[in-house]
Amino acid sequence: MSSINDEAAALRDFATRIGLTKLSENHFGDLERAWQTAQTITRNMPRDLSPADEPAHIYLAGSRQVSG
Amino acid sequence: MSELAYLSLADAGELIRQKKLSPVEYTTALMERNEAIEPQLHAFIKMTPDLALGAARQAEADIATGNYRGPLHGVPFALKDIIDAAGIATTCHSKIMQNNIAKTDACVTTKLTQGGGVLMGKTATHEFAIGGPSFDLPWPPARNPWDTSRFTGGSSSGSGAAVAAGMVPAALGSDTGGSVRNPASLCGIVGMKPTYGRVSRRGVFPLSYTLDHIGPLTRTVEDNAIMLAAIAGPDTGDPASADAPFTADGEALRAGIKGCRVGVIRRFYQEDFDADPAVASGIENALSLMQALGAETVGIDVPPLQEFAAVNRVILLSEAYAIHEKWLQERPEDYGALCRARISGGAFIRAADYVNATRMRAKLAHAFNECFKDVDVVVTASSMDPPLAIEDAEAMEVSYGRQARAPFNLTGNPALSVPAGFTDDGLPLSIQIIGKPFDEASVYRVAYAYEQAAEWYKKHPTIGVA
Repeated sequence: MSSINDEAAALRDFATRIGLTKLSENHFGDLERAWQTAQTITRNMPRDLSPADEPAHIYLAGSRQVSG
Repeated sequence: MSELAYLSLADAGELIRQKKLSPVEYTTALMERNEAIEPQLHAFIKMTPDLALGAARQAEADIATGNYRGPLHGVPFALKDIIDAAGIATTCHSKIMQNNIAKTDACVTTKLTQGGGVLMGKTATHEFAIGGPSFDLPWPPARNPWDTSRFTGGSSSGSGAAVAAGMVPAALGSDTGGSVRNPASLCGIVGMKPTYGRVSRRGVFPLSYTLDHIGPLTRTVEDNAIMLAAIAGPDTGDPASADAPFTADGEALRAGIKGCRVGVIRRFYQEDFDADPAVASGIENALSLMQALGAETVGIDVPPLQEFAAVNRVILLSEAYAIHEKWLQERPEDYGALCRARISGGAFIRAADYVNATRMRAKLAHAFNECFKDVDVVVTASSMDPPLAIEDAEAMEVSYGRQARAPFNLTGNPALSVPAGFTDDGLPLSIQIIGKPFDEASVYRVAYAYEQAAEWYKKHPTIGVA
């Protein structure tokens, strides 16, 4: 029971720290579900990347211009 | 009246060019019908009858004086209400934006109106293209014209309903995880998510900067190609847009599929998810027909659908949260519950997960595109389920993740949802056809051959029939 309360308190603390200070009690229920969804999604992320695999962001100096 | 309602864009355009169909009479007839059936469908956030009639009159006058602009001239269309049209509210189906009057046109709006298209109004969407179907917003959700107790699919829900119901021959939607192809699938019409970069997103409210695509919904494949040709092309206002215009080539469209190699991803709907039996048999029947038309089908393997889905969601939610953070902090009560809950998920995704998702995206795209060494196009499921009851929120939430569209938002390949028959209850089924990047032409060629042989496009909902 106390771990559930701890989890709820941690969620409220996190919400405050990221500026979500105007949430109602109902909104906190939504936020808890959002947190669970995010956990599930990130858990399903494939992890088989080595450090050298597929650099994500390749910065090109200067902007690419297209015509039109 | 139903003859005009279900006239294809191509046929309407040709009749208008030959001056056998008046744009004013055509627009007026659709407007009158739309007013009658809209209360059952809720397809539109706002109809724009005065603007439409003005544009139709202008089209008629231009054509009379020899200034014919092309296949869209005098033809009605609609825009998903996240796409700007100057002087009209872009609400994103949300209280947050309900008084947001667009100052300028989106790039795609300009292209369609410069082509002589007649804007009939702005269509319903899921709130900010993610939260729906919802009943706690200023406007109700759109309903499926094949059965108004059913969901249209989303998020381009009103565009799907309006096209399927014969309210307009074409509409635009946006697609970030499948939002053009989902309503196309569930409403029995054709929906294209073009190659990433093919169509400018300038003037379209973003959901996810690197996954958003704009695409057309129509009742036929040929109409879809005409619409894509009208909206494609580079735009300095969208840095991701590519210098790659698209031409609707009727001869190429009708070239047939003899000798065409069609890859089939069965794992998405047989292993990763168990599709509804009607959906699975619809796909197999479509493949048999393609074989009968001379295509060769070959099974191909790709990474699990769940990997694509997770990477798509991590990127989508992270980017969506970045877009909505300020409003979630300041006006959380002005969102519908579903939209707020879905977008809030982005607050809990770590930067490392986002970065790794973008890296994994490149790896998945490479893995998928390897298959095009052996095949011309790929076929798989679009939706795993026929349209569900719109008020069954629990089933809807389960179904939300049961789809095979998000992989191609990640890879950027063109992907088309095409009707593939009906359930025993008369609800639409679909298949999805995917092509190489910037090879929408092959996708349309295969889809057209199948469509013409299967003839599902000849069946329409009975809504509005006295």
